[in-house]
Amino acid sequence: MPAAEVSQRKDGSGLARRRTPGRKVPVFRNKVAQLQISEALRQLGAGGVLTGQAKKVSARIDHGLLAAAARKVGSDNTTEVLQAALAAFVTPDPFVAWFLSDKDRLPADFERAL
Amino acid sequence: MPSETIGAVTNRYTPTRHVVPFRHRDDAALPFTVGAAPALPLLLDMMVYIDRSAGKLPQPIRGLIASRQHLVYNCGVVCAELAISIGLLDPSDGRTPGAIATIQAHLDQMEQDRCVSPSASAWTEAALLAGVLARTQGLAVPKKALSADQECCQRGRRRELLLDALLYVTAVEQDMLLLSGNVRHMDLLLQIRPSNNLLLYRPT
Repeated sequence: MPAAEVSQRKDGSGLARRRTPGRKVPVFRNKVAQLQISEALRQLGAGGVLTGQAKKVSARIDHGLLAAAARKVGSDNTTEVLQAALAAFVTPDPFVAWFLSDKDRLPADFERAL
Repeated sequence: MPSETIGAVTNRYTPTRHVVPFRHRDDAALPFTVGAAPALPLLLDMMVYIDRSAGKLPQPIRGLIASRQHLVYNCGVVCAELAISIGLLDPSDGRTPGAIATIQAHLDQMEQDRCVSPSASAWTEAALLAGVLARTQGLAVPKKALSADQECCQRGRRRELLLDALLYVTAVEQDMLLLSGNVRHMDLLLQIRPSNNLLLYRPT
């Protein structure tokens, strides 16, 4: 998967963009997060969303929010934490959303046939 | 180098070691604790869908599924359990079109790359486990000792065991966490083939 390098710039200036030299697979201490983000990035890659180029951005993010995200994925690397959060945000799992909804309930008298 | 044969699967077991019926254990001895569940992709059994529809899925289980986005899988065994009803429901029953539409909607949600199926090894291992359990749990009565109905029933119950074993062994094979409300059969399978690939629940 192409890496998107994101970092907090001290001067707060605009966006910079540069090509990422190769694939960079983040490694998170949280195994579930690792699998989830890998899958989200795979989907984004397959869908042509990822470009292989990285933007360097400057952003002010609440320290507590960043710390919570870092704890959740199990990484202290800000770039990886933000990349994971963005990947998860743009690729919700439609199956889980459907499963947790009230849609398509089987009839109350449904019986297992096998 | 020749590949390992399917016989290696059955050679791992000594079925004759199991001669007395397995007893069902207390819940305390079974994997019911969501918080202790291993960090693995989830595999859903058929009861999960039935309990979801009935609103009987415990909140911690729903929470677990919500927390495993992109890591929830289905097994071909469950797809088959759903699909057979599409063909089975009575076309002359007025409720059938709605029921079929609902079942179809379930299958429409299951992406191919989020579905797994048992391999030949898994089929073989599951069949061996089902055979041992059928014998130890009283489902190995010779045909001649049974009426036609009893014989049919015994075969049906063996098939139930086989399907449950298939689901369980597939979870082990794929290193997934099988989420199951089928406590009775899974308890037996866990005794004969222990693993960390199972999380049980009781419907609310």
